Amino acid sequence: MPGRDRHMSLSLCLLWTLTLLFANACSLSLFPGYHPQPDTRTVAPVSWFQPDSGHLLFNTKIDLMKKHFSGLMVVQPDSGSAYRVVFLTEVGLKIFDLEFLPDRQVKVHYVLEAINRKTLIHTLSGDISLVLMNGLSLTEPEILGHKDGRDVIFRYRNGKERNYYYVSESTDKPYQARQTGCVTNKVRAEFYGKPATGLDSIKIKHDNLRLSIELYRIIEIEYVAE
Amino acid sequence: MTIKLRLIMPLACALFFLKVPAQVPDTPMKDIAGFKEKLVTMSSRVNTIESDFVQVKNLSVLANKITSRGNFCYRKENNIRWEYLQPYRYLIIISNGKIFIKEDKSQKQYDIQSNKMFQEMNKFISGCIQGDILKNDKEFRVEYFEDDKNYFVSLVPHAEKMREMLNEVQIWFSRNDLTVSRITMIEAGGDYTKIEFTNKKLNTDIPLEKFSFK
Repeated sequence: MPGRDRHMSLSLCLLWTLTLLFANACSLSLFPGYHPQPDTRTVAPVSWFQPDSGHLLFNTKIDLMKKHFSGLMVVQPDSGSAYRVVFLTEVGLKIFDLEFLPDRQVKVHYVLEAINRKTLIHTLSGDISLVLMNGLSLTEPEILGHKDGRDVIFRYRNGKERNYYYVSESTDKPYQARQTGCVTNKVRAEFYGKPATGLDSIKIKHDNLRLSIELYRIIEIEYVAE
Repeated sequence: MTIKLRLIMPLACALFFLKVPAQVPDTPMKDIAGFKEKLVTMSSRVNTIESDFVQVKNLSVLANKITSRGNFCYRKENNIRWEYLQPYRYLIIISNGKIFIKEDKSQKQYDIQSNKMFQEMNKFISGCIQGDILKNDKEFRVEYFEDDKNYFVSLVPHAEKMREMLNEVQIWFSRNDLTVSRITMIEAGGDYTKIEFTNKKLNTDIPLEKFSFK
């Protein structure tokens, strides 16, 4: 019996060691070269979508498996920290209408029946949420730095997921965002734009799923008042 | 008098600020059969239509509407070219039972019969041009109105599933030439898409190449 206890203790010890190694590997092995660094920046990254900035319109292309969809994505930040995102076809037919609340909840206002699949809406809303950066103020980010450069990564923990925002020294807006699960990269988003002129485009690509989303900003020529 | 004003003013203010797609004629059409007959005659005489259009998308969540402009061509039988030029480019051609879609860099071609949505889209667009949509009382409740400039037709889908997507389609026919001058598609929540046709030219020579998939 004592031998059996010892054997169990050893197994538990080994399990804990593996768990600790595994947990540690989770956080940094996905980002080789980066290491936690003392808080040199006090300002957290800022979303490209500012409250009360009016709506932004994007020409949107979605490639899911072998299927291609295109349409217009409208992003309307409200005066608080919520966002309304509506996806339409070019001819005006509404595909989905989602509201991203400050507490990270997503309220579905409308989804066209043909695409009303829980997993699809969950994935799309997760991707949109990553680029909107909504609900980030709920957690304090950890700051990672790279030994070769001055760019900083802000890591936000959200349950099993981690959101990473890459920010260069010259700006407070991210040029890349990544979401990881425990052991794998899930999705990455690249932001293109300039602080002065705002966002130009966003490219989102999944690592484990054949899904990519591209958003190209449309500069509207006029507003019509009726 | 004061009491009346107190009652009327808030109502008047509410009506003034109420956002509705546009004022719609509410006088019931006197001669529906005559209107339909004129529409059939017009349809038989018109071989081509060319027009510019302005599409306004109103979403209740947005302070401003989304406006796009483009060009529309129709040539008998069933050749339709619908092209957005501003602020984005997008082209749809329906011809010979096929639908062709061209975006910025990519283009695709489909058989209309392969997709129910394309079938409905084709039926709807050509139905509006040729007036066939008014005969479709199986799918829509059709109501007729008029004012001094337009004939106005309201189509409300019978099917509840369809109404979840599209609550009502309003079509304005110009009294002058019986062509469609405006289409408004109202969604269940009140959001709507209004398409206004301007610079209409009838029976001009539109080459078939305009409807070829290149």
